[in-house]
Amino acid sequence: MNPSNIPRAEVYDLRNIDQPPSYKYFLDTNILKFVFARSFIREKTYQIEYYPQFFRTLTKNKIFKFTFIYNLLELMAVLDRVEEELLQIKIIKSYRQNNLEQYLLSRQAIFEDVQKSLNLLTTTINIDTITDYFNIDYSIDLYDFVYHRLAQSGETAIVTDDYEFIFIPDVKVFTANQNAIQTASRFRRLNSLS
Amino acid sequence: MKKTIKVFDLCGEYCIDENDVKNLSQVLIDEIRNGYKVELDFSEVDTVLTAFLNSVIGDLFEEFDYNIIKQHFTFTEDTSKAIKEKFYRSLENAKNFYESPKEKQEEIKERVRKIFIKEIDVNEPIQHSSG
Repeated sequence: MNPSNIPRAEVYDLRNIDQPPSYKYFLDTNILKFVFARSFIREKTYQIEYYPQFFRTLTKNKIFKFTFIYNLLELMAVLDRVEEELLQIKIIKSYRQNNLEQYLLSRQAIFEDVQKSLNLLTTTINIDTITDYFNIDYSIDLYDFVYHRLAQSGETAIVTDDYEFIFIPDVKVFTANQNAIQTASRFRRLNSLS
Repeated sequence: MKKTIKVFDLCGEYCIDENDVKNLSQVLIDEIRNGYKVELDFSEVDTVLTAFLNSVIGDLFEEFDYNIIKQHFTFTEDTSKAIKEKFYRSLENAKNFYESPKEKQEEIKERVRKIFIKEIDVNEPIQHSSG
């Protein structure tokens, strides 16, 4: 079997965690989206159910959680698309003019929510990171690789809905993604906190 | 008749997740049905996410129209300007959506769903080769 197809992360099912360990939790963009950008048109998905719940648990327990500016920008792009749809900005020009202020204020409100709730960090990708990136034996994009490097320090955990993270060696992955949980369990990579 | 609802008693310090949305929405819906005007009290609440208010407003729009919702809510004097602005902005966004024709609503809903669900599609089971 190709090593990139074997889960190598320590995977945790976050759905029923009341007392998360005191790691530093990095929140991937997909989590930010379900916590901060869900609109009033709500889908009854596990993401909407569990990720805001876990986020609340981390907040309640005053546990350090952070994301990178890059992820915040990605979140803003998602929000832009949702707002465009809701306010029909692209569709009718007059709507765009009438709702531009509302649209910008919505964007600003989410930005402030994130700033208040999370630590925002900048990150740089240097040549050593890129060199290392080309030597890895699993599939992941460059930005995610930066989080991987960070998570390998041991004190950082990644909260993500992204299935691919379970294949990264030596990182702690907290997820509610059923496919990720089942695969990790099959390969005995699913960890329990008890 | 006016009733003051203390959000902290229903949701605690952090208004973030869907369980709290349900707790608050149900009380608000019941009070309006019972003929009360509702005064929202956010004292002792530390964090109110915009997304949380969006969800509550979404629940209210499932039961009532824009005018009823707008007429039935006020805030206690000590409520921050930021929370009030968030609430009314969410209300206006929802109005924009719910006052569109049904067909248009479904179209927008589907497009928004795709924006959110895109990640889920990526997470469909990956077929691993064995051995």
